Amino acid sequence: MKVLACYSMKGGVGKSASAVNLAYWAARSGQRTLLIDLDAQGASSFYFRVRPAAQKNWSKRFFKAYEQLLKQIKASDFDKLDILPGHLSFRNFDILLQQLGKSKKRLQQALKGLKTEYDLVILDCPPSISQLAENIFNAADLVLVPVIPTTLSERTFVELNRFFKQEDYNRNKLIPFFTMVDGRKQLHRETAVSMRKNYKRFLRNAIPFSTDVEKMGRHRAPVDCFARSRQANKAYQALWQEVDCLLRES
Amino acid sequence: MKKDRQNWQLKEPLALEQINGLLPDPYRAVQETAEDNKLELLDDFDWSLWQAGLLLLRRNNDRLSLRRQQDDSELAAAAGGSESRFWWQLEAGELADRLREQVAVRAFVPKFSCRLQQRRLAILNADEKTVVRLRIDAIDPADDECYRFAELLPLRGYQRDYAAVGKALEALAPQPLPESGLAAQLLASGLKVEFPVSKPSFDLVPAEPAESAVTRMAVKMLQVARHQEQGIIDDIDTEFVHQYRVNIRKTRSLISLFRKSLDSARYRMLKTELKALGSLTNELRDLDVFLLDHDYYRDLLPENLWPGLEQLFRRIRRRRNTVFCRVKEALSSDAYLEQISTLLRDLQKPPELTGKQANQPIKSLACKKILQQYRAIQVDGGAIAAQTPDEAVHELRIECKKLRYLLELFAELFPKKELKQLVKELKGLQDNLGRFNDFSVQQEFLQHFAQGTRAPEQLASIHGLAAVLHNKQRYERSLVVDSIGGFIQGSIDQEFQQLFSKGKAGS
Repeated sequence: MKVLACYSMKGGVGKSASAVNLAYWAARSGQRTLLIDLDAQGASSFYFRVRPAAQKNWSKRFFKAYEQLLKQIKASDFDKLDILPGHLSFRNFDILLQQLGKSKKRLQQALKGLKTEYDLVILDCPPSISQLAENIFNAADLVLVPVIPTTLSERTFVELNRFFKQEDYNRNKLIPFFTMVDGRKQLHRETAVSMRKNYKRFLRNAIPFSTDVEKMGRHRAPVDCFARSRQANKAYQALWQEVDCLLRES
Repeated sequence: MKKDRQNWQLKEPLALEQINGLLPDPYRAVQETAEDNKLELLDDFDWSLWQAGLLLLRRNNDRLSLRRQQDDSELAAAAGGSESRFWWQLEAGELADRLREQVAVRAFVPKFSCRLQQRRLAILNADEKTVVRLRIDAIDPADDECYRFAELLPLRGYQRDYAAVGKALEALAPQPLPESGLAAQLLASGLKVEFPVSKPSFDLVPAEPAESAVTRMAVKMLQVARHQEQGIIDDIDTEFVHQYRVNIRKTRSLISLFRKSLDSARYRMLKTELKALGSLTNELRDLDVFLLDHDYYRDLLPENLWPGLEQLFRRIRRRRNTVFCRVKEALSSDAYLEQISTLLRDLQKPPELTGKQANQPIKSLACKKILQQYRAIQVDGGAIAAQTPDEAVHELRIECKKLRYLLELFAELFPKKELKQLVKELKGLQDNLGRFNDFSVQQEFLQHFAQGTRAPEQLASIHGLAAVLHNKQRYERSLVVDSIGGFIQGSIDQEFQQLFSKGKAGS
């Protein structure tokens, strides 16, 4: 079982949209896939029309045992794709992890129990650098980082890199890719070129800025379900194929 | 099969509006897909695929799909119309490989055909999220009756919705089906699965008088042979002729080994008739065997000899067609029918009890025969050295075959495990002797075909192949003394004595 995280310190860069569409294509390619929505806002669960659990504080049990995770898993509308929906109580993860021992490897341990049921776990992560984030860095085989080719996004990615170096995480796990790319903007083009020069591990495929991605909120479905022939959909499919190759090597 | 789903048979067609009428708020059913296909279930004569938990389906006369009965999941698929009947006729790939493994030389033929309409429905909740799936299938075997089924599938995390929808649909008064999946539905739609008997059980009683037991066994085997007739006439696959011959040969062997339990006139008649029956298909089987090994022979030769070999195979195929027509005509003739019915009638006559051993209990007599046969192999086998003429080896092969038949025919009278071990030991020797014999038969076969041509290319291939086979035969011959030694040695002798001298005493 491989673990793929969709992570960025910055919000609004297309993490959830990427996690949802990658999970969809992973399942379509035959892998038994579980998308875990770690975000208290539950955006990716919303895209799959999966409601959060009714229990108030189930986050307390999240790291206790994987059976607790299994209980909360729900089938998506798509074959081989399950969802563990986000929950408001997930906002307390940092405090919880502080209270538990071995607080940087808790997530990794909890996920281990899923390996008989799934080939791939995709983590949709909340935007913050925190105890939870470090758990994610430990648990993931690859950390996909969506980057909008703008100055601010670039800065955030530089910081993340620095953090990895400083805390001695394996920087090979960090896989950036461009999202919301607007080819008409000179700034986007220039930033993209210079970042690709500095960071060789950027994925070749980028996700264009597209109203189809925004429409996911209205359709509450992966792009393939309502805009099959559109550029954004093809971009996600190609992105998945690239990620799939990297996962096999990791 | 999975129990976490509900399967029903329905009396009436079920429309979407009807389902929506039954579902409580907030559920709503929508149709996701609908398919309408002509479907054929294929299998070989023995239902090998079915027995292995598989389904081979042909959809709309052009596509083959192999599925697991358990969950209907597709294991392999390939193009294949009604002309594809053997694995080697399919494009190379997963399906061909799996079928080779399962049905080998047998043809897969239609066992059941129907029209299959499948609708896949999603039951949505207020968020338009799919919470339960519903499959509605209709199977129409002919034009008279149509069978309808529904299957309700839960989705993970939505058990409550599954229960609610299941309860709502109970209003249709569906009849539960014991198992899920297409296999169960086909059975409920009139598919009959009856495995033919290839190795009959004789229900032997140790004390049964030999004459009655032997004739009873002969009848059963001839009946199995008769079940192969139609398959031979329809030329479905080569296995029908093979099984036909095996059963007749076993009967012949049985009758000849137990001739003293029969009236001598009756024995002579049976012997003559059975021999005639067996010889009917001799040449056809030889030709079939050679044709089946096409790829093997080709791989024994360098590529420049392949064209000549192909010429030879074309001749053999032509010959096979001629011989097949003769066999087909013979088996369809009144004379044959009369011949085999007379034979069966005679065997079913009440015992005459004039044979010397007619009244002996079958078990002790079988034990005696087995020990005698083993003894004969020990004596004849022990006399074979590296330089002994080949005829002696061929004769030993026949003795071994008789012993094998004895062990198989009377297997039900002896402990399984011990017998299996002895058969395994014997088989080791038989494989060696069998290959030795096959190589010699094949060379004769080639010599025969060499006489019928002057084409230099073909002759080169024939002689080339004969030379390779000659070498292989010499190699097998070099193993013979050792394999005999292994089988006639002390420990196996002891096992034979242990297993069969007890029975001889009547235990």
